[in-house]
Amino acid sequence: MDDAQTGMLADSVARALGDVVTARGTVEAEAQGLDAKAWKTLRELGLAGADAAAMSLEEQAAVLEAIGYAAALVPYADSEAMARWLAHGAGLATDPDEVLAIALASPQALSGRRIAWGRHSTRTLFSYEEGGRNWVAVVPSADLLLANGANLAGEPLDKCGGDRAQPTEVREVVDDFSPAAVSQRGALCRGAAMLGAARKAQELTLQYAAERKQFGKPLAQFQVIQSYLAQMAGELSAAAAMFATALRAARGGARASRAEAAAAKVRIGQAAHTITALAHQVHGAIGFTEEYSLQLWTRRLWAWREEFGNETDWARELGAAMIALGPDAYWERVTR
Amino acid sequence: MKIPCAPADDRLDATCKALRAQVREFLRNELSIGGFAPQCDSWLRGFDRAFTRKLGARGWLGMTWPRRYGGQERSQRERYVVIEELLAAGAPVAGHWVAERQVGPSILRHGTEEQKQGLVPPIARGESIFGACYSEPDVGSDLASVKARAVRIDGGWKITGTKVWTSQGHNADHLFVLCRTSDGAGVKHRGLSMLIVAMPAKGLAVRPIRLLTGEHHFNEMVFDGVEVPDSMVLGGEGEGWNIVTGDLASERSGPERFMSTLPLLGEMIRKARATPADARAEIVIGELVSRFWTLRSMSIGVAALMEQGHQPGVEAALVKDLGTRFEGDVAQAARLLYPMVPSLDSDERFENFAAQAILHTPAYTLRGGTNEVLRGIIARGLGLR
Repeated sequence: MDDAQTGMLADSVARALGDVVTARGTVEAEAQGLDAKAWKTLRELGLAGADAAAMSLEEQAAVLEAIGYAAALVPYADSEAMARWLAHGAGLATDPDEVLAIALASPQALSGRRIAWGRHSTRTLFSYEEGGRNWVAVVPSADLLLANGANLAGEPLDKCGGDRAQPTEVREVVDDFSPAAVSQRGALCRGAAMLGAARKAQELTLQYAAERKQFGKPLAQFQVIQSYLAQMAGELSAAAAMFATALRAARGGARASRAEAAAAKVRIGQAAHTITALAHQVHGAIGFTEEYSLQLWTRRLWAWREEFGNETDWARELGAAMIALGPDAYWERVTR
Repeated sequence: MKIPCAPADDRLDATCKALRAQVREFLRNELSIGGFAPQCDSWLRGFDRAFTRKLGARGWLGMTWPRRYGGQERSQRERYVVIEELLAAGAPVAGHWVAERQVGPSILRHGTEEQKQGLVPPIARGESIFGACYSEPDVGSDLASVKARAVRIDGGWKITGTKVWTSQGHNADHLFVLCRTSDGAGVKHRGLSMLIVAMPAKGLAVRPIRLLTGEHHFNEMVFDGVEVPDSMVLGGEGEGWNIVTGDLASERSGPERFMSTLPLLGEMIRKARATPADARAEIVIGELVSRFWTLRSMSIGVAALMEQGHQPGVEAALVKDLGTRFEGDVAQAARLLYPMVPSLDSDERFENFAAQAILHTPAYTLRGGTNEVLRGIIARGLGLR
């Protein structure tokens, strides 16, 4: 699929979600931790099940950007772009109708663990390393004795009840499906969704600044507000540019593109910080109410920047890699 | 507003790779024979006529220009490879920077055949240094308000007025002078013309404007009846504003807008490598590399947009606003990461580069359009003005 086709996929997903997802609907769905209507829509588009595993990372990223933009409360990233992909890589059969959860942990170390989307999943795939080899273990999610919990965006982040669980299947996987590769893919998936959410937060802020009047003129006419809005545009543009670079590098395999992925999650996380801060500053107090919709996107940015590695995690890894390369080889790596 | 991002081009990638290897080999060789001393902000402070000629001899100046005017007809991406390698190495490129980046392209776009043939090939050979005379004592960000006047004389023009911040004006072979040639019927953007002055020029006084370090790069240029023949008016009378604004995108989005302190980042990495693993150093360096990588993607993306015929003035402003802040942040991160005494006379390169980077910091976010002006341009791009 080329860039134009990926763009068309993104547009069709955005349109479909635009028809069913509303800000109020998302807030109400948080009680269940799932927007069933939105999820059904994505499934009808063929975005879940075996077809999902066959999609490229670029296509999945396009879908995720649309999900982030719509603030749709759906487990697409974890279940389809990640767990389904991992199951496929491990040669595990899945039911097209089941939601899968994913955990970067051993099923023997569950104490204090949380499982995203756990309550809606039939099975959880555990990705871990042991004895210098990469493993995927499958555990029925019911065996995890989950108690409901949530991330900052109100997405399920359920708490494991026991210390360990008995897998029904365990498979060794190759390097492309190692825990490191899974977390890297997770970082890119969250990054894609964050770009969509950041774009929406920016649009809302531009619109609000144009409409809201103070001291007899729209906020958008104040020079300091214009400067904030320009800064937001710069951050969004920077995040999108680094993400696109990372996504393209990912075609060369996970290991070869780890530095780009790290740089992307760092840069998107930094952008999320500035964009959420300025979006709320421009909106004034209405922006931090439940009633006004901005919070759907800023809470997503706050939640997703932590997941699959935050700025510190990835900066440290990237920095260590560059230091190990040294002053000449780091430059060769970045300009490769 | 587009998202500027480096486009994929596998064919070009292979060409660029070979070119990059040549430039690196050249730089390694120059360093080994003591051909230059690496430094921060080398595109302002690194004046070296001999080095500039060497680049010209290798075909690395005016690479994208037509062959018949001394160019190589290579792509923007290839030129990008060469200039980013030179900047990363801290090589002395100040002599040709203005001429190669904006004067040559302006003459090629607006000049007569005679001007193109006479003025452009020497730039590509690294033999012609240009000084840009735009700003004035009372005219900074609001460039359209220039007051220097050129009045009609027989067969040409006579310039009177004062210009400031002309880098390398004291070394220049030619000057690019923005003058008022009419009142523009009350519209200040009109009535401006670009005159090319050959040096030495009778009636011109060049005085240094020293930086806070005492360094001499900038000059005040006092024109007292300097005469310019009609053949040296670029693009015709009244075209001055179009010429000045026409190349702003390339002037603002190039790698020099975020690489002025990159040699210092290299030294931070060298230092970190020589000391035991340290989480803080890893995080700080990782953050800086992430920001640099992002800016590089954006900058290459703007170059690609220009090559496709777009006029990415807004996108270029985004790059420069983010990039110039990054330059200052590298200096700040370096001084907080390792104990040091930044000093221009330090024997340690880390301290030396840090001193250069810190002392030049105020300029990054001012030169070539202040960040406040840039944000105004971005705001206009967002439809707010």
